[in-house]
Amino acid sequence: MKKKLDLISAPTGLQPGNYVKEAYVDPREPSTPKADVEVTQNGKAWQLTLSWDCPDPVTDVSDDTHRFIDSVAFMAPGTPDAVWITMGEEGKPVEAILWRADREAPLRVVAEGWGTVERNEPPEGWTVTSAWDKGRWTVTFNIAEWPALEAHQQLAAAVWRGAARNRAGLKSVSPGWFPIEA
Amino acid sequence: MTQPQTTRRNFMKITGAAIAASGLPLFHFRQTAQAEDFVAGSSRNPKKLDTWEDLYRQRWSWDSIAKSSHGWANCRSACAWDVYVKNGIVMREEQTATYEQSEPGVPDFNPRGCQKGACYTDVMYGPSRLTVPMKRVGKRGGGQWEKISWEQAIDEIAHQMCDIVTEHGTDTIYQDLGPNFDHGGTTVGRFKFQMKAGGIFADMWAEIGDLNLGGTLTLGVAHIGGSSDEWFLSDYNVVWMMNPSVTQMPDAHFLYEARYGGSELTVIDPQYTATAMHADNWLPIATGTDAALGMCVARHIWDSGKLEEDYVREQTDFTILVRLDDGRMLRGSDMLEDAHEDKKENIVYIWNPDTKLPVEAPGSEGADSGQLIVEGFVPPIEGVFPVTLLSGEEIMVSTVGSLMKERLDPFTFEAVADLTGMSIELVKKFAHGFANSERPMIHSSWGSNRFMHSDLMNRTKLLCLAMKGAIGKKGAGYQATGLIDMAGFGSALQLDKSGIIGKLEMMAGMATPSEVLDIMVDLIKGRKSTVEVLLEVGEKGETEAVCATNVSQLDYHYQGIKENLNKEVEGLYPRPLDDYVKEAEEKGWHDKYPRNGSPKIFLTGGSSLIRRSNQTQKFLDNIWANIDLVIGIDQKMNITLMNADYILPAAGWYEKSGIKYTMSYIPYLHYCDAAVPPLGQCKDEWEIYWLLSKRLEEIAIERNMPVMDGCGRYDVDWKTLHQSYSLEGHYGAKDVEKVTQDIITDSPSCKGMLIENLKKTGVEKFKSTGLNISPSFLFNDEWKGEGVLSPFTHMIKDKWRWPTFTGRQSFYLDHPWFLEADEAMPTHRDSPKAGGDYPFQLVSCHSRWSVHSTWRDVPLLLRLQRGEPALYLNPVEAKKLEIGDGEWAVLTNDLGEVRMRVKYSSMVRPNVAYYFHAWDPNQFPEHKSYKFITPGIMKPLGLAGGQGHLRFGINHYQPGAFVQDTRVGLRPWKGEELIAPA
Amino acid sequence: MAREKYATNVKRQVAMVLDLNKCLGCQTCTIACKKMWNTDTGSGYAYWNNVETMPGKGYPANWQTTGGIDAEGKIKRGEIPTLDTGYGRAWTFDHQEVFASSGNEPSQKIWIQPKEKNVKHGANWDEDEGVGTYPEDNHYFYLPRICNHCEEPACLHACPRGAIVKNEENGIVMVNQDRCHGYRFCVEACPYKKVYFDPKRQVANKCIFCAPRVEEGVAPACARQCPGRLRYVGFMDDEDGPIWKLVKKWGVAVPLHPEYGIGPNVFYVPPMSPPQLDMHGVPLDEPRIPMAFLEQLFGPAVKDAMNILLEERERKKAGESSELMDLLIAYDWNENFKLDDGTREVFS
Repeated sequence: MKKKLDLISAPTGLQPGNYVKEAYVDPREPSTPKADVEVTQNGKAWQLTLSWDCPDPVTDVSDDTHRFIDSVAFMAPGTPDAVWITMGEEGKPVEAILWRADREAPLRVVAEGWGTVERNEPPEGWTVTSAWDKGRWTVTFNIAEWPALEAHQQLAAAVWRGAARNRAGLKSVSPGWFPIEA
Repeated sequence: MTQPQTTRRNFMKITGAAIAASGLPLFHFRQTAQAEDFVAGSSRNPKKLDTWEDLYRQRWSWDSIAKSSHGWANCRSACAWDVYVKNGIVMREEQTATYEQSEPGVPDFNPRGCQKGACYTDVMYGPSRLTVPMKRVGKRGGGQWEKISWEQAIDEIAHQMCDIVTEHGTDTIYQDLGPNFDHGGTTVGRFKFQMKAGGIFADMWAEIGDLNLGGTLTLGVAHIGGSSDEWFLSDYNVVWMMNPSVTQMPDAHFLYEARYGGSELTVIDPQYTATAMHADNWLPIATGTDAALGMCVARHIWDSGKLEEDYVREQTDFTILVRLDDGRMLRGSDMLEDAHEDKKENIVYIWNPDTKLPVEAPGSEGADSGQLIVEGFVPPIEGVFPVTLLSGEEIMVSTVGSLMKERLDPFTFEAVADLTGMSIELVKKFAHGFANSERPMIHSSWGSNRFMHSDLMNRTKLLCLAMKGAIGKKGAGYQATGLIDMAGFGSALQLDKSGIIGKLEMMAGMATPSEVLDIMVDLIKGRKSTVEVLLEVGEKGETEAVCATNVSQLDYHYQGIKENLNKEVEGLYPRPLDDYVKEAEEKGWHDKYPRNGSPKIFLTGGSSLIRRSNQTQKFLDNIWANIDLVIGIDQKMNITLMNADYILPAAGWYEKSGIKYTMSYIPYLHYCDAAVPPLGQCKDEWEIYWLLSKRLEEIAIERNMPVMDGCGRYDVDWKTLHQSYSLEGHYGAKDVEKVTQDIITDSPSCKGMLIENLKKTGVEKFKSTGLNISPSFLFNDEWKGEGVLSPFTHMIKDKWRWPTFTGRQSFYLDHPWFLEADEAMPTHRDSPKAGGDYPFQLVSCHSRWSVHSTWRDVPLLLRLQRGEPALYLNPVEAKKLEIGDGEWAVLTNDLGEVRMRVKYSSMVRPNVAYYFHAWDPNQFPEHKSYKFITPGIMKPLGLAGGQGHLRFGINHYQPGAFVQDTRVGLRPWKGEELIAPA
Repeated sequence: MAREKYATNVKRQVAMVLDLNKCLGCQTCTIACKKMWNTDTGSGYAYWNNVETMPGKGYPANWQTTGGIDAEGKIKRGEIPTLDTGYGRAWTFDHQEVFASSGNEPSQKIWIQPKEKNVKHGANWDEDEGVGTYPEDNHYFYLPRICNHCEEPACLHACPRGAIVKNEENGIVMVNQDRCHGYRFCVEACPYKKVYFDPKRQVANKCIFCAPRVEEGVAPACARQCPGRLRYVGFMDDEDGPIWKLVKKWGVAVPLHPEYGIGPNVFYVPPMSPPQLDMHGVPLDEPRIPMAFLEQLFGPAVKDAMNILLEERERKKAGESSELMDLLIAYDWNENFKLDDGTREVFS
């Protein structure tokens, strides 16, 4: 499947705590307005690719306090009715695979709502490659097996543009789950 | 084992009935709390609970704690530290804080310490730490080294030393007595080697500007002070040429707490210092005009009827008669027929108004009585009287008091406001506050001695105090820190053999049997105080048993700066500087060492001579270039070691046994325990000199080297050098702790102290001030380890003479040089323009961020500064010069140019270029520090001698090399041509 | 918009009082803290405890205007200080290179200096700079700062992950190092700029009030190691302890920037200062540090605090007794700290 995604800025009004929702008031132009997504399935294995324009990539943030890393994630619902915008809720988890530009391996993420994100090293057979060329990131995840995606056939995507100080809920996201068509 | 109590000094103690040394109450060290986790040696390793909070708990854990301190830091403090060891590494340090309140009504000393002590670990494991012996490759200072074994290093050094002394004599062995000094076994190793090998003791006290010459001239002692909790008791604290917030961190709180206790705090400083910010009055005095202010205050005390007449009459020389024809005190030679020479020269007179005749003043050097007791009449402080001399001639005499009053007269509020750049109101307010206080106290640090005329400044401060009867009064007086006597340190240096035989021999060497008899008679008859007797013996030792000289004089002769210094002093005194030097040396007032040329062997002891030397290039070109062998013994690299031939890595301060030198501020012995073994191949200095003396002895025997004459004062035989050093094998190479224990055991101030206990407690309160053997030491016989320690109170109470020519606090010095220079009495003299007539006065202070050069290059601390040396300028001045904050300035004067980064600070007086000292030249472009353009002007009168307390002495009286008078011009520098290669 | 309240179930609040009239600016607290907790590479620049010269930019530079609360106490978007111009990088040095250059031509000798060259800010950059005209009114004073362990911590509210917790037993605010994902909203939000980000570990950290020590009744390292003896530690509600007496009973210690409205638990005894001089050098009745400046830092209550201090000092001068002065004198240093009954600040 290939698809052009129009991304929106993730709404901050729902974010936990009082600071983010007030300091970063909705609505905001997404830092990354568009992305191309490509999904291929080979048996149990998946290849997920996202590419997007990024004129000012950030790949190393280990040497200063104010820099944020470029990241991207694909998320799949853990239950049929898991909510996308809150990253799930209690008893209705979501799962995701996350790439950070300063890491070789992806991270596996599970969450049951805002602020519950748990990041872990990925299972065997989950890998990622990335390339930045002519102002554009292309990130490809190879996933040996992802039962949640297999079961629910839906994805959501999020892009964090480091240069725009994107992190956590400050991100550009697909406007909801999108179905994958083989 | 009980040590035989028959050291020389103990012997005298036994003979001198006057010394009350028995029946001391046993000192009890009260443990205030016991948390098992924190006992010396015990560990704390919290269980791993596997939670994130536990990560933090794990960080506060250790395998063992050692009770230690920074014993060799050469700071004016002593602080007890717990040193935390984990996995064989010293992780961190924290104050032990077990000091007791001295007496009810004063705050306790806890916790002491400073930020440097809290990170000695960063020196220990720092980027300039040395851990292996090295030998230079290529030219000296070329930066190339090879690692060698200890055996090779000691063997090569020993052979070269034998060659050199055979050719040039042992008095060319030079060792700096500076920093890295403690009162324990490692420093005994250094000094004992120097003494037994016949090297010179070149004292740098005055050369670095730490010696309170005004104190020596006035009271006969340079180091004056009690415990710092005494500060709390004053009702009028005056910080006058001191910056305790920066240089006396563990003690400064007493000043600020005194304010809460009802005391007023005045700070007199051209800079708005970190101490001035806490003052009730800040006096922004013009640089170097402090003596004028002092004279004004003294005048006001008298004018306003606040002169403590009874005190002044008894304790000062105000009643002493002075001939009005020649300004000399009326002496025995004027009045006595057929008197002993001593009496002729050393008897002075007071006036008996009843008989209208001069009467011998009790207590003078030549007087029969050592006590200042006048019976039957009241000698006047003022007056002019006729006296008929032995010759029949009638002359007029006056009192010092009268002359002083006249001397003070021009120092009116108006005149002094003008001189000091302050308003009449401000000067008046201070004078009034001082005159009306009950217990005025003046704080004047070692750093108050860096102007050419600092002696005059400190003499006037002491004058103000004396006129208020404050010296020797509890809660009042002069605070510049005294030292507790460690008699055992001196014994350890001098002994050749262990046990009672060694001690008897040492005693015999110092005093002949008839001298011992004389001493006993003096004591029993009450002719002299014990303190004075001991002083005399000490002085004898210094002039007969040690090759003592001073660095300023050595530099004058050998550094190639004679012409410079002569020029600097030109016109300031009646005669050229070299006249004074010649006369002093001809008369034997100040001996010249080395006798026949500059030093040939230099053993560093931890102080960095190249960093410290004024006119550094001259030092390098003349003294350094002529030294045949430079052995750098230090824990860390510095500019001096960069220019050495051999580097022997010394054990760090948590790696060896020692005793922090004994400041009166904190009257506790501070033991330094080894927390870990020496790093890498490091060895402690006791062992290094043990090995060196052993090899030297072997070679001397092999070559059958003749007995040498040392510096002409005593025989030196290297064939028995190690025998003497090791007390015939009594001490082994690893016995530094044993030596340290013997020092403690032989020091009455430490009665009963044992290292095995000190390892558990770190500190123990002194039992007394000891025997006050040296002029540097604190004078208080009556303090027995209880209560606040106030200096001199017993002098006032028992009326023992002061160790001065007249036996009194001396404000009139009738030495011919002083008379000729019109400095017989204190006065104000303008600060000379050293280095040429330039608009900025280059003024320095001890640093908050280092103890001398230690810690100066530690990244952790550099990050809390500017990373580089900084020249502090008032922003208004800097902007006029178009030098921005953080930008470079060129400092220029007649001696050359150096570069420093400028830091803006509103605390700095306009026309002052201010810096905090002890940066290594390797922290400056071209490796040239401000010292390269600092002349180090010498005061000719510092070479005076031959009269009473006016005599050369280690830690007593020397010519000095004064830095605060230095002038510079400033201009911006953009840095291009010197940026170091990538 | 008013900020929502944190539903607190803190049983007791630990707090600190710092007497600025005793501060030496020696930074022993800074080093004590640093050596205890912040020796990791990524924390090289970070000082949970710092001492800054006031008036001045402080550390990090301009912290008073770059936090997440404005002067009216409303939330605004804060800034994250940068290493070079905000905090000051942990400069690096190459001593060995310097030693080896000793044989070079003078102009080619390398000297010990930050390899970063021409550095622009540091944790104590403003040291002793101050303001004013010499000698009339030039002045400065030292302001030691740690985390305020606030009643309503801005950092805690800013964390989308709930990684910041306020301990129920003692009110200490800590960053859960496992939960933190390094988003740094806390760094932005804290108006005191007392949360730091470790770029090597990619997590935030901050002053923990030496929680492991406090758990055992031992005062924080910054307080216990302070040679100026200016710090008092104890529980807010302990009427026998120094905090309650100084803050509540005597009202002589006031919090920093109370207008932020988040309930700081660190209090300051305001600094007295010597009198200003007029243009002729005659002393005036005005202290060098203007009251207006102190009010800007400590709010209007500082005026009363100062008056109480001065009045009690006069009483003591007149020979009367004063509990307040005796407290500030700290005759028995151990009594500056009261965490556990019966524990004294002595380790052995």
